[in-house]
Amino acid sequence: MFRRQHYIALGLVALLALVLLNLPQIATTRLKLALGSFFLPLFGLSSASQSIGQKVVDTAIPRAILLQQFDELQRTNQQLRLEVTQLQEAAGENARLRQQLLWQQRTPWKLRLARVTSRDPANWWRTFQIDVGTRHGITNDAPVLIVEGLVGRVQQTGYTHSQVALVGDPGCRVAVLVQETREQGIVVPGAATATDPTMTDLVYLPANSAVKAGQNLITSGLGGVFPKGIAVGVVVEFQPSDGDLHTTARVRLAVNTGRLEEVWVIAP
Amino acid sequence: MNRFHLIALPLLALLSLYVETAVAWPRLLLGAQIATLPALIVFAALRVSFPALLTLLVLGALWRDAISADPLGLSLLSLAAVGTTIHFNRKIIVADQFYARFMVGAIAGAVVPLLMLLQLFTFGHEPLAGRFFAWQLAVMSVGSGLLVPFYFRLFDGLEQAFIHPVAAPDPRALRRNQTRR
Repeated sequence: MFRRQHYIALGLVALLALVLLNLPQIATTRLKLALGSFFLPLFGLSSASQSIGQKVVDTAIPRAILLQQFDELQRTNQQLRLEVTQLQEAAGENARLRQQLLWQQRTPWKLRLARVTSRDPANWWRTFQIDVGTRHGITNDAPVLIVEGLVGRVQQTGYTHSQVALVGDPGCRVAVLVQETREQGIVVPGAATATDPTMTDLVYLPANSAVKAGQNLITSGLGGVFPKGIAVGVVVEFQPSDGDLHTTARVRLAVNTGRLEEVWVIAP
Repeated sequence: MNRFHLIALPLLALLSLYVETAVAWPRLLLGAQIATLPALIVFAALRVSFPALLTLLVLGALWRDAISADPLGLSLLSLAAVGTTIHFNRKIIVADQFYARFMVGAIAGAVVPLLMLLQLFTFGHEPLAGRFFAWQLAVMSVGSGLLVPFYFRLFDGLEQAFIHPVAAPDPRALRRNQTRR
């Protein structure tokens, strides 16, 4: 009898696993969000302790260092203001030309700052969770970036948290453009990605490609997920093909996602 | 004892999963994150009752999959296979020896990710599992092996703090009952 009860219990566990694995995507997402909410108090606690720690550090910084930082920031601010003035002029000219050519106007990005709360426990995915969700206007596939370049895309959105698939994860393939040669390709995880998360492959380059090591990659805007012009990485190795239709290059990503603490999300 | 384990084990699973996702240095230093759940399952399989083990299995696996990009329910089958195999054979495992605990934990730490990967490939997913995965598997295995003795020591302390032995019945009351009969 005792053994029979065990078998029944194990059968129920197996059945539960099979049901869960065969649930439709929308039901799985909702269930994951509900189960993930058990971690919210822990994320909140960690966030609060971090901000308290930051406040303690802030109060301990000597006045001389703060003044030095203030001077540096003021200088950078002035420099950036001059650049903005120059770019505003260029943007105005661009808008006028687009109007004359009846091209669609570019819409400015609505950026939302997010904190990285947790990383994927599995070693075979490159994803992390951020503390913004549908409540903050974030939708699926929203691009995630930092100043240095592209980080990834929002894969799953919850009310207060979202999951981001990083560039180099099988769930985040990016259509790119070689800035110098204007050749197009797709950045996908490569053989070296598991060892070094910043190394990926650039595939579907034309067989007669003129790509060289050191050339920059930016998003091409194709595919409709990532806007055009975000830095993705640099070509580090390229070997011309031996009669194949396409060729592949090795790319070092612009962003090392392993140490990120804050990111920007482009809200629609 | 059972009620304590029913509450403490899932709570510890939640906490260790949170630590696993929040602490990035093992991944940066060793190139792999150490999975904490297989070690906890091994501890539970060797120490606690079947209902407590089953509760931990279901809750732990679902929580783990909820914060991962893995499909929901993926880790349940592999953890259940390893956990129940150890539980039903625990009489032949010398569980009070450090070496035995380490070895069982290390084997579980390697078998669970392998079973999960097998399922992922079966379901048509493309996880990042190249040649480097052998190193990651070794790190996970050793990490899990070391965690099992740690969980034993932790629970020894917790049980001492929270579980008190049932008081023996009052001998005078026993005698009174016997004389009444």
